[in-house]
Amino acid sequence: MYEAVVAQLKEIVGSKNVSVSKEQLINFGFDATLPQYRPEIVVFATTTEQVSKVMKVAQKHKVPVTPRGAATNLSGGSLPSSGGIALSLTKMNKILEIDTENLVCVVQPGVVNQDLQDALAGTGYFYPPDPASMKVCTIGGNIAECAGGPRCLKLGVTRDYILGLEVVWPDGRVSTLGGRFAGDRDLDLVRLMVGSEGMLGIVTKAWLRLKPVSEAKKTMLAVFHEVVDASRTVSDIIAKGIIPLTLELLDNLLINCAEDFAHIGLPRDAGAILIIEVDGYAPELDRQVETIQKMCEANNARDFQIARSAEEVDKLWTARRIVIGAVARKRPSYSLQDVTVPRSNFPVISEKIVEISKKYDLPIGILAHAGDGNLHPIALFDARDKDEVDRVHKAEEEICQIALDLGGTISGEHGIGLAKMDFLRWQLSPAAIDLIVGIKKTIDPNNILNPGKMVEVS
Amino acid sequence: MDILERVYEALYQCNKCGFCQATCPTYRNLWDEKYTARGRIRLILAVADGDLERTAEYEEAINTCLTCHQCAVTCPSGVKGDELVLAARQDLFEKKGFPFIKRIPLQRVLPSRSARNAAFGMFRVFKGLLPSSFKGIDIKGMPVAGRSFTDSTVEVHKPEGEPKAKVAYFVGCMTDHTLPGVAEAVVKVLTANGLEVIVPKAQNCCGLPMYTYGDLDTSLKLAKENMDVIEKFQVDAVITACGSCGGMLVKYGELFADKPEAERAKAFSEKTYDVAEYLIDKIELDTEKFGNLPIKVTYHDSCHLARGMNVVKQPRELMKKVPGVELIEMKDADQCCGAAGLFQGLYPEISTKITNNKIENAKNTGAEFVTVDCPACLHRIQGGINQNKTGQRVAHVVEVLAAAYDNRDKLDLVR
Repeated sequence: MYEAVVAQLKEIVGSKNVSVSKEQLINFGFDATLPQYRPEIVVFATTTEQVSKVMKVAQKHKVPVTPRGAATNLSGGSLPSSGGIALSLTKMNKILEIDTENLVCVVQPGVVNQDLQDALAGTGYFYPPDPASMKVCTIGGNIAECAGGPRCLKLGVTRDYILGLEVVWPDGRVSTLGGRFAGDRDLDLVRLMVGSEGMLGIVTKAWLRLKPVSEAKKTMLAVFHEVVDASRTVSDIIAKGIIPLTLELLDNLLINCAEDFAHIGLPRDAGAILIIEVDGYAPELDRQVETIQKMCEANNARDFQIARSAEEVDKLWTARRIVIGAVARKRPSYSLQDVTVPRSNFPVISEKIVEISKKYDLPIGILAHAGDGNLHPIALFDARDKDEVDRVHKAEEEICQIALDLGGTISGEHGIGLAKMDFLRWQLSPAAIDLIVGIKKTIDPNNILNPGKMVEVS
Repeated sequence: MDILERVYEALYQCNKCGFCQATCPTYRNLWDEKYTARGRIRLILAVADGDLERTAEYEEAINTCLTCHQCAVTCPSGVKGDELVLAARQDLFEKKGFPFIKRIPLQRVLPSRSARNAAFGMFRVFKGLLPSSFKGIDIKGMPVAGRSFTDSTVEVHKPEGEPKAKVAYFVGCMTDHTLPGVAEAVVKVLTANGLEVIVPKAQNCCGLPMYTYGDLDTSLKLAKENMDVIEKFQVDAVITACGSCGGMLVKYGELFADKPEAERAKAFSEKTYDVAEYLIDKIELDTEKFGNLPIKVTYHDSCHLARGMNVVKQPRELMKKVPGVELIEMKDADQCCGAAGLFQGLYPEISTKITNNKIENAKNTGAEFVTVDCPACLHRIQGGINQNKTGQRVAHVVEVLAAAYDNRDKLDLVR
């Protein structure tokens, strides 16, 4: 059907970077969520010019294009659900410049987050957003989803670290928005692009803001019998005016998944653990740790430890970061929500989730960037069991509804994509949704760029 | 039951989180989902479901896996991508057999001592006529022994005094035919530590190359032959100095688990040790006889040694015990060198990319010697160094020890 298109694409990116084989259509039809689709053409681009020309061809023939990085997406945003072209940017993976004088680095979209961190190691600077999948996810994907991560409690999300973007628009034109120096931007198009989930344009280059590494850091592990005690501790710590670098919660189910992989002696019988990290100038930290310990103890913590070595800290974080991947040890399929509530309501929603898990007879683990009130309830099941799938849907609807009732949102950091489209209507007023549709139509009138995601465009 | 049916639940367990991308050497060089465990598993599932034929592209995806075990170690859910690929290769072998390019080495040459002697002998004679390199493999720099080590040595090597234990040395084809100096160093180091060393002359290929490409029957036949040969000597331990052979020998137990030989094979695997592992974990290493050896070395982990046998610390500890030796760690020391058996010949482009990363990381340490505990890695890395003209030399860990026991103050390598 697309023979002429395929021929033109091969001209642009070279024949080895275009494939229509069934093997590649299978391999570029999935991400880390359950549904699987098949694109009709798989294309790898290696330069901005190629991306631009690919978009011009796609525009001319009205072929849908779904941009794709490492495809670790947790909301289905990188799924080619309308067929067409799956456009992989993983080969555009060069770090173009590290400018520590101006606290800026310039990267291509396919750079893996961890590779950037490794390149910055030793310079005294780092790039704060640290999604759990940072060892594989790409900066382009991080920008499209406005990724968060444990450190974002104190340091902010991807949006706060993007100074400039080179963007290819759906018609193939290229713009540079912002750049090396942060300036006043009245109508901030950079911010519009961050979190636009690949619907508005394709990022081909990004100017990222760096931060100096703190002088000192302390990492703590607090162990609780009950989730609710851990979640009360979280609200108490924040209410005390301490903003830790990270404040992560894992419940019993996830403690066990993480321990199965990491073997670091996590307490398998605990109801919940908190991983708490504070950073800053060395003399300040001891008092903060002391206050945090008191808060934990006041909320019935059964154990409180401070990591003794960098190696211990690394192991603890590895355990935390892999945990979503580790749940297949229990059941083969999972579904993950991304609800966020005001911190004061964090204990309420965590109790409700425990109730919902019982009500639907489903294992639902709780993983949370607790300091932000951002929770990832993760339901475990087997997608081949239709009855179970039904219960997952009902349980998740209930969780989203509760989050909204508590004054929260359904997406903290994973995006809307395909998985949360139905829930977006509950959260945003019709006027706001109309506005999103309007922006999409203005920038992409033929609806070819990542169509069918976030909002329905008629 | 069909092999893919047998592993179906394990395939289905992959939840596509994508974390395997982080350590997969083929993905990290090609950046294409087809070359990562998650992608390969997706394709095997499609074949198992009858949704995809066993096409040439499918075979390429399956055969470009290095079986380096990185994905298995990285997967948070414990999905063993390498073993699923091996299952897919077994399925391919059962359905389609081997093409000529694999049939000759895997079914004719390697499984037979006489054919192997003839093949290496021919290579030695005609090497001068071949191009100096072929598909990225350094032909000119590749040494070949006039006679294999097992044919030229005696079978029993006694230490001075009463032996502390009796061990069999499983030499392995690569060391046997190309690195007699390494084999001699192994015997020297073991006897210097008061061990009686048997070098069973009738030992055969360990079976790994056939197992790697799905010919389980030939592999099991060889395994049984080796057990028969070695068991006769009633040794306390079987020692290897080749990560690949060692990794295979410790797998015999698992491969025979549902066969009459189950118990024998389990016992055999349990008493197999890598030479560094044995010297550090099982005996008190004699460090008194060590002379000073002032050299800078870096160490490369063989995939099968580090992840097949879990031997990571021991080779490093051994070298650190030698006075004068300075060990400088390289970046990504545990990443594959690109050899992966026949892989380097079948996919030279990918292999060369992977090797060049290794050469760069080794060079950046500034060490004079890159040490290894596997002859296949030794040749691959030395070849890469020769082609990139970075000037380092590759030595086996036991060669470092042997030089120290000989009180040489420098490391001369016999090639």
